[in-house]
Amino acid sequence: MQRRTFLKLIGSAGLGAALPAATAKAAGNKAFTGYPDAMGVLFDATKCIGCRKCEAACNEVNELPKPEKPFDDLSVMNAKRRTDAKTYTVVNKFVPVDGRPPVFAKTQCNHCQEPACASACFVKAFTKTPEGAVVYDASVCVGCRYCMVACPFSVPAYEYDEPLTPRVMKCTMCHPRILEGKLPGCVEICPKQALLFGKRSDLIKTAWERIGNEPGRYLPHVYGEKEMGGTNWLYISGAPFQQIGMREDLGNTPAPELTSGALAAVPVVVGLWPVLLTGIYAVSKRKDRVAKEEREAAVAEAVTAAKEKAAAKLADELKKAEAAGKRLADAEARKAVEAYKQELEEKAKAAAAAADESGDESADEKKE
Amino acid sequence: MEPFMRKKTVALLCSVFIAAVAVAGLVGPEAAGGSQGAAPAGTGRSDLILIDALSALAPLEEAKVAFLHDKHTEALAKGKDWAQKGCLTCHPQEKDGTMGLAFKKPVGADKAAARDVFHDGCISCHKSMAAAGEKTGPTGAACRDCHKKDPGVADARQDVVVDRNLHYRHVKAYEKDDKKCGVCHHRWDEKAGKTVPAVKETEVPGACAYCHLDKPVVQKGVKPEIIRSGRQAAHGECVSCHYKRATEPGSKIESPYTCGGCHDAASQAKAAEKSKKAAAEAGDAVRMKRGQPDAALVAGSVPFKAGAKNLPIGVVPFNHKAHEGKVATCQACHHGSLDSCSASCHTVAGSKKGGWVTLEQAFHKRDAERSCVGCHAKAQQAPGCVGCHGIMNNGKSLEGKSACAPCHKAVDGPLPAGIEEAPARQAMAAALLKARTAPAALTDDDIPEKVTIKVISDKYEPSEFPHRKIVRAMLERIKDDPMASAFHNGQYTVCASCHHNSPAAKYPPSCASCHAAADTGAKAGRPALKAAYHGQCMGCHTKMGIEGKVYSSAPGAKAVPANTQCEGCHKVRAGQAVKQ
Repeated sequence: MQRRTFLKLIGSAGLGAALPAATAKAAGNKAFTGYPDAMGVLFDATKCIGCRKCEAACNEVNELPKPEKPFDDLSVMNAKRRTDAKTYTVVNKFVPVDGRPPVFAKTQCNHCQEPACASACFVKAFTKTPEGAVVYDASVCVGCRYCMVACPFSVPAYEYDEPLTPRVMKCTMCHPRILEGKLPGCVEICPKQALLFGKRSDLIKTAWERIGNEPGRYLPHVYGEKEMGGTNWLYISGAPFQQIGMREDLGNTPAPELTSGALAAVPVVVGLWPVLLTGIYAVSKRKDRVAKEEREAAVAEAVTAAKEKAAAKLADELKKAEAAGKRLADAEARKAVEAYKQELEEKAKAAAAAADESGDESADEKKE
Repeated sequence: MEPFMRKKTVALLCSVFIAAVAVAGLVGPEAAGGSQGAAPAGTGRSDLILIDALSALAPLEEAKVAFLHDKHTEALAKGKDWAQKGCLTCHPQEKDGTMGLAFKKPVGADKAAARDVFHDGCISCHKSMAAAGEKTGPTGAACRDCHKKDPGVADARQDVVVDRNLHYRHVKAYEKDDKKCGVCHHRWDEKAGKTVPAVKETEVPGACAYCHLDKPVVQKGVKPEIIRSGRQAAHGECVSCHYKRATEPGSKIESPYTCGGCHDAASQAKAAEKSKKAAAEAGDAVRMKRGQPDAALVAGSVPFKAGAKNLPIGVVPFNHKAHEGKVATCQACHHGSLDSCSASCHTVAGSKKGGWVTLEQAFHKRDAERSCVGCHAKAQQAPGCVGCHGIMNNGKSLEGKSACAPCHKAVDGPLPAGIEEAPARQAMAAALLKARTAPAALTDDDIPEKVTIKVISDKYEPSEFPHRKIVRAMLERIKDDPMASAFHNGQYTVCASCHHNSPAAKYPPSCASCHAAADTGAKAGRPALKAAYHGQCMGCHTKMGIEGKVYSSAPGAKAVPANTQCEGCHKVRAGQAVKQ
């Protein structure tokens, strides 16, 4: 890999980690509007009579331990209760207006469309099923109980008295029964059909139809239609939801959306950190190596250059020397030649002189 | 308007308003800052006035003074000046001789002066009483003696309604008086340029509240320029007269003039009892005769024309006389004036004056208090009616044309001659009302004695439903109700409360023909059989308030099973019950 390419990649990944919201939205499930055929339950507080049959049926179908007080003891409703590891659902009694009949409200997992528990779980022990239920897989759970902290409805409970294999316990919307084509236990037993099972989309329609038909009976609010991004358990009531123990301060933003920014950065950081560090290490290592190589090469080059320079100089010197030598030799030769020439000329002059003396002789001789 | 003028008007308004607050004791809690639920039950007083007269001039620096008016009246009545001065001990006298509602004098624009009226007025009196060795209130040693944040008493003031019966007692008391109705009722006389007594019944403009509204009416260029508020009018006129009559030498008339005398729940109940007795003795004389017919043909958007045939929605004969006896005052229906509803307010298409409530809505708006349907819907909430009507879809027992039929009578043949005139219409209305016949009573043959509900028996044994006993109990409850008789206009109409959504008949379809035995959830669009049965039975018991209570007066009668008491209606089948 080219260093430039690598740095480019690291840079873009770093940007991804720095701006998680933008990228997480594109990559995450923020636009998730729920599984289209997801089922749900509509609880009608104006129909509930507080018989606790749903609690009994829930206990039976989920094979939960027998409670301290029997389910036909309605006095337990005099105090507000909440779900626990042995109770997936409770019905509480409220008296919103003194002197008017009580209003009952059932509590259980609301099966959020985008569950907070699932978003908080880092081992994916919670799954939002296409049927609408949010189900739990004890086999992967590490017992961190982040789900319990995350749930805005305080629903998941923990088996604190289970020393070896404690689980998180909560309503499953009777998911196994739904898959079998049966109704959830509580829905099936309800004598008033205060719990209506059906497609979430149908339930919302039914809820608004009821509100529209009897505006005096209901408040114009389907709880769970929008709360926390929507839940698959829906509620309608004649009393304000706050007065029947339900939170109205939750807002309509799904829990994962509140945390997806920060959480989406986690895999990036966790996944990228080793790569990043290794990369940085590799880069610095390579840098050292390259520097070393470069240095060595430079040295070698310098040495070679020096050598070459020396050799060249030598050669040059030699050449020069040679040339000088040659020049010297030439000069000497020329001198010698000159000297010789001069000697010869002198000799010739002498000869000529001699010839002059006897020149005629030589001329004669030449002529001869 | 010039600033000065505006200031003057505001000051005038303020003084008038403050006077009402200071004395009337009629001001609603929001206006007078009345204490609400501050004190425990039983300590409520109907004479509590929170003096906040200065709040109109500047923000209050101190807590409002909780003033118990009757306590002061009582104390002052023991004084030697009382016989001579009476209410005028504290209150100014108006030009027309009635009592002014301000304390000493109306509050002006000067805050310090206004404050001193109260401080001097209250403290000087307390001091002089203390000097005389009498038991009295704070003498100004500490501000908090009077300006307390928690007055320690709750406001238990009840509004006064001069209903038909109470009105009759006043009529009777003055039937021989020259002024007759004009003793109380007055009208504006254009020629005289003042209000004059409305002597004759037909001269009475109507209820006081038509003109005397919640706040004084100031009209420019129209006389009278200022119309007192309802509170001012009521206290000025009623209290002055009551006090005068009660304190006349040798008077035997019980005419209350203290706050509690009119505004206390107990004294109201006592007066109502007395009025009811007087009205019962009077018979028809109790009616407020103002030229209204006994029976009227209600006009709709289709004008009455002689010879008109096939009226689309028939005609509505209205038993005015019978309705008079069912409401406390004319205002129950004629809320703004005694003129025709459709004349200028609730016109066919609605008008601004009528708040754009169309004529149709004026009659049919279900959530309105004064429309026909609205008032009847309210009547359906009576314990004897709500069992059936409460579980019906929004109280609607019938849909479409059959829902209109009890009021809108079809007319066979053309409308008679002269129908454009009131006498003919009234005669036709009377004839139609007379022709209304009660349907044949249900016989035992019509009502099966027992119905065994067993279609879905599973964990429980079949339910033995005492059908006839329950139908008879229902019929017994409504047998003397003329409205029920008029509206349950078919022999089997009453059956339709349980056997709903199918034509009322002797042999209605079984519940299971519409309600499936199994719960198939939302897609079924209607409750499954189990929920349908429970919904009807429990819904009715709950609405009537008889759930878990003994309803029948027969000796040894059992309580109606509570909703959660399954075995009250069906026994648990051996080994089948839900795990407990």
